[in-house]
Amino acid sequence: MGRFKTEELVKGFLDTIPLGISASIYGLVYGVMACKAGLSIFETVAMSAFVFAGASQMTAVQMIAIGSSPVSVIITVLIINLRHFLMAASISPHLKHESNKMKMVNSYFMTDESYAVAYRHYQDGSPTSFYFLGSGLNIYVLWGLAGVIGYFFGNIISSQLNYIFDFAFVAAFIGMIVPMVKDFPTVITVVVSGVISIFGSQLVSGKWYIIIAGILASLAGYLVSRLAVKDAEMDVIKGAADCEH
Amino acid sequence: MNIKMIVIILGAGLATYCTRFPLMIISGKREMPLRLTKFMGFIAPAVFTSLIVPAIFIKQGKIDISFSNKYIIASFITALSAYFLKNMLVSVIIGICTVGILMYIF
Repeated sequence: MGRFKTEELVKGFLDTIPLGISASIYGLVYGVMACKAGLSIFETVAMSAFVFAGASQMTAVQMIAIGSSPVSVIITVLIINLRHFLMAASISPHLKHESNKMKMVNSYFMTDESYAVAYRHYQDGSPTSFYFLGSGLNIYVLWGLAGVIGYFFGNIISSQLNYIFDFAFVAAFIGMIVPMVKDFPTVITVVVSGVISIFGSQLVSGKWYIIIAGILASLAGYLVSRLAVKDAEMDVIKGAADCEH
Repeated sequence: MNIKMIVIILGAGLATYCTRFPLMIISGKREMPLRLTKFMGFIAPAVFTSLIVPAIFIKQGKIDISFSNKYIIASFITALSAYFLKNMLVSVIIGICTVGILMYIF
């Protein structure tokens, strides 16, 4: 593992504070959701400790709340987290010189936030895994704490107000979806997913409609984006042809 | 803690770790295929939408598109606030308040 570089670890931790704060806001919402879904405080913390992935934990908690089977929850979490492959592939060349053991540790603490901080740092500094680890630990601690605070907040909300606070689920996901809808293919994805999930929830037994809609809608979005690319290529070819005249 | 929750937490944890470590160990010099990257970008909005749309429109097991379903209007207002304010916590608070107000009015 090499020498323990405390300085790098601390620097990574400190550099991640701004993003750590924004992650804690999601953590608060996760805690409220977990409480309302009927998880115990222990389960809420255990999920943050073992899964440690924001959107997946919120998704898992919502699926638990509506009574999904463990297998469907695990598969959905896996699908949502496939993006980790991209992050790992993009940051691993910077950590080539590190031991496999250290890379395994770093992997565990890799989140969107720590990836972003470390990736930027590596562009003009000497890449060390301790910096990445410090950054990851920051998110780990703040995310875990925020979940606990959110849980207690959720606990003091009267169950008579459940109809109102159940909406926190919906609102939190709307808050995550809206910034993602930046182009036409994503609009198609959202619409297709909405339609399939509504009919799927009526027709398919269990909660498998979540996975079915998730996969079919991302395919739909992808295919539409391919068509858009083809159109653009055609325009370029046409434009080039026009120039020749 | 019941066995179902243990399975979910450990299973989801293992699944998540399996997405994190493989490409960290195999430090590939090549980029991921562009098509795969593109496809992955659509997964999150697709799954999130499939989670909430039935929660909005289906009440007591039936599709409910009416004024008595307060979640529909509240979702619309939440989406607007998410678009203009770009702050998740504020959107959640606005959404919850909207449902509360609608229940008080109607």
